[in-house]
Amino acid sequence: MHRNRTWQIDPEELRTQRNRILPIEGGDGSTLSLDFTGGVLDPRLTFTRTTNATFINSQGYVEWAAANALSNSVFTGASGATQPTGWLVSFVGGTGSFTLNGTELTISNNGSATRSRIYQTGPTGNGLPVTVQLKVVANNTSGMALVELLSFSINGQGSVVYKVNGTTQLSSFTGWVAGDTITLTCIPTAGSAATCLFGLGASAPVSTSASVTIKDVQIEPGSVARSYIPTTTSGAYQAPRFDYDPTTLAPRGLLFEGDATNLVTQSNGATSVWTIGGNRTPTNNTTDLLSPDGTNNATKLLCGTTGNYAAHATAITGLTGGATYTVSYWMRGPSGHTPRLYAVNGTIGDVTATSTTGTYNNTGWTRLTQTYTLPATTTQVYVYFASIGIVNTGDTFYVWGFQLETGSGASSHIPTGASTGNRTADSCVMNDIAPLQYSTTNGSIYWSGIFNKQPLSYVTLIGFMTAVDQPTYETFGNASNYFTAARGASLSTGGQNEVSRPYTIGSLTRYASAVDTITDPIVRANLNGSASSTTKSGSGNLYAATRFVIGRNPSTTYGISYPSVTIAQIKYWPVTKTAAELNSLTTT
Amino acid sequence: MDYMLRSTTESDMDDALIAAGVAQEVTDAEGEVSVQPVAGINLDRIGPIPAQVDEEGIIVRPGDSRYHANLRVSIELTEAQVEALPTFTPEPSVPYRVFI
Repeated sequence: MHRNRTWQIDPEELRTQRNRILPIEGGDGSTLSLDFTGGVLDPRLTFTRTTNATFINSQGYVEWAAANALSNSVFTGASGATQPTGWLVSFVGGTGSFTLNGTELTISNNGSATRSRIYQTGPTGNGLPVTVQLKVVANNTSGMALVELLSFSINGQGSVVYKVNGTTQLSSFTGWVAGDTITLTCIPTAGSAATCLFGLGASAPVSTSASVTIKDVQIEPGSVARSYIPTTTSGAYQAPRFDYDPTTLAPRGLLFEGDATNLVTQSNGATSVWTIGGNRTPTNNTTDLLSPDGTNNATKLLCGTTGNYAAHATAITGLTGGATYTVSYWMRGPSGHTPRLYAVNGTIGDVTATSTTGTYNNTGWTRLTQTYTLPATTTQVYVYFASIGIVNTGDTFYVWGFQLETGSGASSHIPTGASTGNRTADSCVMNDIAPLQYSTTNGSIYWSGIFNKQPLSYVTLIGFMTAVDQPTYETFGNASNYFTAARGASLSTGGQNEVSRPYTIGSLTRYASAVDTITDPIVRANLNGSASSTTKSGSGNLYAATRFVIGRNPSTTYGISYPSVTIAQIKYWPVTKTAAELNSLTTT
Repeated sequence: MDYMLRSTTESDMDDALIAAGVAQEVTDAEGEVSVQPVAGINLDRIGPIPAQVDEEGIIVRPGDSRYHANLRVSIELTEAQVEALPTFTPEPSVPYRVFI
């Protein structure tokens, strides 16, 4: 049936828009349609972040993003006496040599050698565990007295857990066979860079050749070895994060954040620095229950005398008077208490929160956040768990993941040990935009997601950029409003036209915008059904774009600026949507 | 590769970073000029390191009023670039801040 019927799938707006024939990606006329709620990054996007970071996984736990901190894990460049590119060698008592077969590296001892190893400098110790893994392809070490196939060279390393195929072994174990997966978890000494060595080490010189073949080497944060991620000579790999609602476990999309610093050390409340407070007995790393990251590293606070208040605090110095900060942590316990920030200098006393989120209970973990503006002369505070009401003897609270960061709103948790910790920004770019049919005269952008934190300045969320990082058609925000701008050399004042809509932190946002710079010059936007528009005073083309970006590329002439948002969907049409169409997009 | 940097003032730090070719002066849309890292460089500006105090306000770890920064480098630096960075020795046994 219908064998002679001609189907027409392009919508009316595409057929009438300047007679252009456009590719359809989303079934709705869009030439770009990205949905991040499936947990997959479109392969056309290039994602970068240079530190690790955490997110809420599909089980509701806080998890480190997948990562391999090693560069060139596939050993490119290894041949003869030349080690893999970017790796260093440790040869003792003789010479070593390398043979590369695909991604499998054979490391050989060549007579009278005790050690032939390759290594890279790993993460700097911060009191947090890291895990190393490798796979054994072949083991020809029968002539060696004691063979170290993998080792950390870290003074004072502690809590070493060495496993072969998931079974804990003594560090002297040497019975590896082909196919074995070896993992080693340790806590690098604070302040020391972990040097992770792979290869052959013997207790005495080897008079005959010995070799080992390895592959799939990886270093990652945490105590669990996860799926191997190959890396190239361009450096370590940090994976994008796909975040989930911690309560409903519904997927929220791509977690995309600017850089941030957790100014609290020992973020789980370790008594080494959480020395302030009273009427509570703290127990670090309690085994009473699983922490929000699924391990046993929360702090238990057992309250003492009935009729007193209880507190557990640490002092933070070096803050900026008058600035805005956000405190966050996870808590579980008897209800009725809240976080507290106490100014130790300047205007001494409790600082009143300007906003609060989260209501905890005694049956599960809840992340509480409070935002404060410090008194003008206050630079030092106590970050607290504090009972606001009096407690009963035996009341038990559990706390985990303290964080103090600049700005309004809590970003993803930054675990810390002995040092404060910095997480760098997420960046995403699509370099081939030919299929998007970018128009220099018309366009519409839609995105949905959740703002997690107010930016400190203007930040690009989504948009097109020129080769020199000049935004052309972009949507961007500041601390309170979200804008659309059309930028071109001959457009009106400042070369741009903007419309703005106010947004709120923490709730679903649907935003759609449209520009027309020639036929019916206008810039219009709609945020959750609330519309605005600006009629352009002049006309002309948008700048020619070469890239589509989420956040702004760090190779910038205009500064680095990143949003803090979880993005569910993005769409682009090279046509101008009507006000009614934008309203429909943001309300359905 | 990570580097811990220290200089007398913020301006000295900016000058050193520009001289090393890891940062540049940029002007934003509002005309503000700032020093930003080039592609492949992450710069965490720490500034002066505050003293750490206990509940009585007694200093348990002294601060350092000089200007500090951490640099994470994802590109290949020349030997001359590395030498131009204001690194210092000895590095602290426990850094005030690290990249996670």
